[in-house]
Amino acid sequence: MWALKAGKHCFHWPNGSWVGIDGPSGCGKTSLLQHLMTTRQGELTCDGHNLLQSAPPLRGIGWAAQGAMLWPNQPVERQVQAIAERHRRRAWMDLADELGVVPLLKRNTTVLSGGERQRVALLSALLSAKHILLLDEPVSALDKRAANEVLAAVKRAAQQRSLTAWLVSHQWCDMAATCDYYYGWTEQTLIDIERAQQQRVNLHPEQAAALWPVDKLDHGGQLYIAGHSIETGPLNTETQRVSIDAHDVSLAQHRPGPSSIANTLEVTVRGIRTVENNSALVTLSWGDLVLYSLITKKSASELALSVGQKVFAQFKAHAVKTPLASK
Amino acid sequence: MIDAIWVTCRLAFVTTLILLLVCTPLAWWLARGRTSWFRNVLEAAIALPLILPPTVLGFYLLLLLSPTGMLGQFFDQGLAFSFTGLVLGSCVYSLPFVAQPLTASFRQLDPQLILLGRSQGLNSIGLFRHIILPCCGYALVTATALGFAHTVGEFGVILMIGGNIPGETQVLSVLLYDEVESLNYTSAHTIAGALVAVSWLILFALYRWQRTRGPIHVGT
Repeated sequence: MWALKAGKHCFHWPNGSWVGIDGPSGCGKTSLLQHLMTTRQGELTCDGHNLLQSAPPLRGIGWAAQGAMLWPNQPVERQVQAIAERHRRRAWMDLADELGVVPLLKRNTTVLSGGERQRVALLSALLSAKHILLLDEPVSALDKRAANEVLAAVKRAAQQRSLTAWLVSHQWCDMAATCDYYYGWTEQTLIDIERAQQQRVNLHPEQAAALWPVDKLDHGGQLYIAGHSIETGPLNTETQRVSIDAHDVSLAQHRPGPSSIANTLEVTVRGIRTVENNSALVTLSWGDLVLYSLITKKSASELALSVGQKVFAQFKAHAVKTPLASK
Repeated sequence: MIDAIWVTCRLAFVTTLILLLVCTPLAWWLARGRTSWFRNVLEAAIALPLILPPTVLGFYLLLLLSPTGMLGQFFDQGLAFSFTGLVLGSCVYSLPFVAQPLTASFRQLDPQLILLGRSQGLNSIGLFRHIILPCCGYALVTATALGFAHTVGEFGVILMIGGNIPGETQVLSVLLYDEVESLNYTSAHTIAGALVAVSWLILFALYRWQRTRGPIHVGT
């Protein structure tokens, strides 16, 4: 079990899990990471061993600093090779390939674009990490598709070595796709990511989306969640969590007949909330899972929805996406 | 004249080498440490040769290096009018020309870059090699060029503490003074022209190199 005690921040999380951290700009997130890299004050413990008691080069922290800082004015390969040798990691070329760094190895760090720098910074952090990764807005300069691929590769590499990680980001979709827990900087509480999603829906109902953990994914476009199976579009085989946007979910009082809509679930209405002037956000439960449907007030009225009522929710297979591909 | 060229080159080379070895850690300390009264005092003292008349500096150095001086008393005949004394005087006189470019460059180094290097397991030598040198290498070149060129062009301090001993302390600038005093203008022209050409070439090469090197990005 990991634990942090630094200033007013105090929380703990299981080994190997990822913690997403978000907060207003300038609130001190980056300062906290720098604090963990430099001082001996506070505690960052893994199974009782306080990493902050060691000298900074021996803490085993892989840090992808904000702004993707690289060693200045030298070939990428020299930096990566030097870090790999220092941490005795011989087989780094496959990881470099997954992160898209191989074509950059011969280029000078001075001429790389923001996204390219972030790929190199992530590789360097992975090579120098022994216990924990601190990723400070690590994919902010990448487009959504590239960010998805790079974060998936980092998570895969981290899982192989049982590394835990902090992901500081202002992009909720980055955290929803990769993190297990969410630390709200202002609230100073650590909650699991699905609960954080529900809190987020309360704050921004117009952006409501269900966030479901994936138990198993078939190549044939089917995934298993809490003992149930649903149809999906093409998904990465390593997808750990899927998102279903409230805009993509329709409701019916009676089981609809055959159609191209692949998923029909019998759900229970848990709440109805007016959103903006003409919309209603219906909160639904499917077993332990929460689903949202954003419909017009007219439709809600015609369906005569009430809390506790059983209805049928429908969504297309392609509405089931990884959070990074969602709106 | 060959002797004077040899003494001048030897003096400039030894002085620049000593100054680089002394000024690199000194400039790091001045640039990166916390602001303190002592640091400000030392910084002002290092810059003094920039504004003091060389004769003032030469006078105090002469007292310091003479056989009865604070430093000279530890040597048989003192250090004044010797090559060693000349090196010491040159080091003091050229100190700001080496220390100041280095200090300015170290000040601009992003502290987060040092933290990053440490987190990646770099020791002090690794930090210097992989992060400080690539960032501040231009300042080292500038400091070297300025230190060397300034020592080659020294006159006042050398005349005060080195005298004019051929093959020992007679440098080109002093030889030029001698030739002018003797109304030997042909030789004076040769020496003066050579000094102008060498100094201009060093500065031209330095500015040309500074202009052609690209910017260094350390982050997005």
